[in-house]
Amino acid sequence: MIKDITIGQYFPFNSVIHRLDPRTKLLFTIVFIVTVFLANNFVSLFFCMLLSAAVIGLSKIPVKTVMKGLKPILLIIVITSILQIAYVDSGIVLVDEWKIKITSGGILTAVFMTLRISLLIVMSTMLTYTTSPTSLTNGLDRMFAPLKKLGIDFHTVTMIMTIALRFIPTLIEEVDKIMSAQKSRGASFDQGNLMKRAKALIPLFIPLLFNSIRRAYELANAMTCRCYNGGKGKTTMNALKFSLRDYMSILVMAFLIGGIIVLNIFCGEYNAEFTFNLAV
Amino acid sequence: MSHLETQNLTYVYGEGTPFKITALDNVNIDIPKGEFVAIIGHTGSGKSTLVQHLNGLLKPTDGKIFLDGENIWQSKSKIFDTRFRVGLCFQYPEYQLFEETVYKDIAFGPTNMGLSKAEIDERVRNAAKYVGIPNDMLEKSPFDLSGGEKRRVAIAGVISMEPEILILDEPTSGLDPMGREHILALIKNYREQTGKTVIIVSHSMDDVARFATKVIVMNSSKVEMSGTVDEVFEKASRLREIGLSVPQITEIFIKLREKGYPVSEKIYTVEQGYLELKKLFEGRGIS
Amino acid sequence: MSIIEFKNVTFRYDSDEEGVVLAPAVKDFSLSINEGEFMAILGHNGSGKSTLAKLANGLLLPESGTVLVDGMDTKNEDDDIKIKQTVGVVFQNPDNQIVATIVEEDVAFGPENLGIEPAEIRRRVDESLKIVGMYKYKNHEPHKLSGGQKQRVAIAGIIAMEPRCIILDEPTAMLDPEGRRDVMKAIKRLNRELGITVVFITHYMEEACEADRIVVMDDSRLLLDGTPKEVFADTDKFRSIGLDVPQTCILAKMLKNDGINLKNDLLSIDELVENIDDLLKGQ
Repeated sequence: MIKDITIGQYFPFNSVIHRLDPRTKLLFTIVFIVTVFLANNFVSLFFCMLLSAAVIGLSKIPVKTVMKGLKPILLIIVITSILQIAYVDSGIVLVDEWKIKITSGGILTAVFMTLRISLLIVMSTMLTYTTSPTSLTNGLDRMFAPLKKLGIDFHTVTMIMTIALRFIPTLIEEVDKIMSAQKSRGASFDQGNLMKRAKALIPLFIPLLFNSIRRAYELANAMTCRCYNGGKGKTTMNALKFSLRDYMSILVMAFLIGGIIVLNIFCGEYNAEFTFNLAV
Repeated sequence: MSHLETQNLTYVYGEGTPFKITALDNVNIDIPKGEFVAIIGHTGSGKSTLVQHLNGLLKPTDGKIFLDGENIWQSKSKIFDTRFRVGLCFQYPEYQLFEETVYKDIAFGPTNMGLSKAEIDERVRNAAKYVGIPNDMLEKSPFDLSGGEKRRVAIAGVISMEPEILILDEPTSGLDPMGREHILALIKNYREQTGKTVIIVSHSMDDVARFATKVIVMNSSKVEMSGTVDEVFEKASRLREIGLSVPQITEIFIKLREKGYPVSEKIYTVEQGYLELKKLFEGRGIS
Repeated sequence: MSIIEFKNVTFRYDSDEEGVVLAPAVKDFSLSINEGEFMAILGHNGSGKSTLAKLANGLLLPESGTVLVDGMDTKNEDDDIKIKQTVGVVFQNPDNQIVATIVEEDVAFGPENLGIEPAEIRRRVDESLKIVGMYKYKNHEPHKLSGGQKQRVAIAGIIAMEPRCIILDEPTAMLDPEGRRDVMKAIKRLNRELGITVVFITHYMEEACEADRIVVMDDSRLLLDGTPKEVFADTDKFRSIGLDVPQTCILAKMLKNDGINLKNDLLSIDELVENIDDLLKGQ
């Protein structure tokens, strides 16, 4: 049923990760992304992998579900891998026939890139898997509140996000209803060429647009009646408070960045030939 | 012969997911030609799902639907055909208007049927007449009309396909008493003039009592009972159990009977009630 | 003491695109709503009753005349928040009033805007949800609730601001009978148990019968004002403006026209049945 679509792919489990302050998780994700980019050798990357494995383990979210998040970008991974293999020419030549030349360097770079992209995706999906959309927007709101001093009103942005999240299911239901109604009058949405299909969408989009404007107008009235004035002097029921967990996580972040820098210096920039020889 | 018939109609949402819901469970209904059928039941009883099967909008999980003895799911072209023969007007249909003018919106269905310009024109004007839309309104934008007018335009948009069966899902919801009367009167009028089968889905027992010739009561995805208005309203206590009620006036007579007065329980309108009470008072020499 | 006072209020909406000046939606309207009252406003669509709701808390401002909320003029911008907090409004379509993606967070929206302390918001949210019977749904997503449930969440969102008066603009028009019953029950509780002034705009006369006082609007003006029994006694006037009258009233009236000596103020089924029973037994 269309009503059961979950937005933002949030999995409401009760875990340490779920209970973290959304700001901590946002910050953690950003730090992690930076670290993954900083990591320039396999050892550093392995370190990052260990950390993400720990996060997944603590979150109680099944590994299979997490891996599903990689599905949409599988194609990108495959294409970049092929490009790396085709263009990187370093290390030991493995295949050199006709116009195809595959080197150990190419393969390793492909593996390195794949791991890097996968780590980025896995950790960003972990953020939405473990944080409800509202608590995420709440976190963003608070995190960027200081920007107000610079004249950037981030509250409006988060309010828009919240309303969008709230109304997506309502609009999906509405699309479904209008489509059924127009189909009952003989409209078809899946026949003919592209032009014809685009034209067939008019009976869907015009009512949807009109209804959305009406909704927006009514919602604005309702919000005004509930004393909304652009977030001035607004408090929050679930006030965000850093707990011990959050401070611990910040420590972990510090160690992570520090550790990666040390590892980078210690292991040096990864050298395809050297690593390959090590592996063999 | 039955006009529209379902055989063991079953419909399941979200098969294989934790959200699996059986919306229709082995539903058998039989609608003869020319009847005014009311389908009643509380929200979630399956009545809206049922009517969306009758014009082929939803495909049954199990069971069959016959229109004039032919299975509507026999072939793909058949299904398209069924949508024109069984016209379905959704709840709050005014929210589906989209054309620049009222005329064009009413013409949407007939245009999709591939009719000639002359035929379309005739049908649009006919349909407008049934719902009481004057000629000068046809060139207006549907978005400039009042709520009640929009609703009538939307109903005309289904009538213009000249369906053999007209189905209206809660045609009076959200309207004020005057608007409600207006819509019901036009439906009644349409049926009398065309002699076609009409099915309405409704919560309002008052409306059902006044117009329907046959009632189908849905409860938790099944047909709870069906029959004439008398047959169904006789079971007032069962109706109350499943979240429905009988008209206020019927309630008065049920209570009078409980007090031992020899009045009929088959009273559904104020006029009937008045005559029945008059008889009672006259019988006792009071008037 | 009156909580809301309309004094010769006239209001018209902006002229349309072609510049045609519209007729006033409310014309020279005066009404005093008393604190603690349960009032129903009846009228057909376009009679001006919904405009009243928006005028009552300053969402719309009168063209002429004054609206006073607890003595504050709605035209005075400085009192705007105070006025909106004193008079809460619930609208017809529950979908278009819910802001947040979780029930309890939506109910918290009003108090949050008022800058209430978090612990106090929590208390108010829990209490408001309990009053409307939606407490066990506090962690649900609003779009998965039924119409009647959503409307009760919307009402809780207003109660959480602790207003002294709540105006409900056709809150049951889009609901099924069951949803309507639950919402009515919640509204009655607000008035009877919490002592909040309730102004209930509707065109269902059976719901209006629950009120202490009924005001009937027609053609942008106040037509009738009285108790349900007083108002419904004039069945002919009522039906002439396109409103329903309880079937008991019509039936009683028809019988009385025939000289049957029924009482004048029969409203409920039981009252009518009793009266008929008495008359017949009296023989």
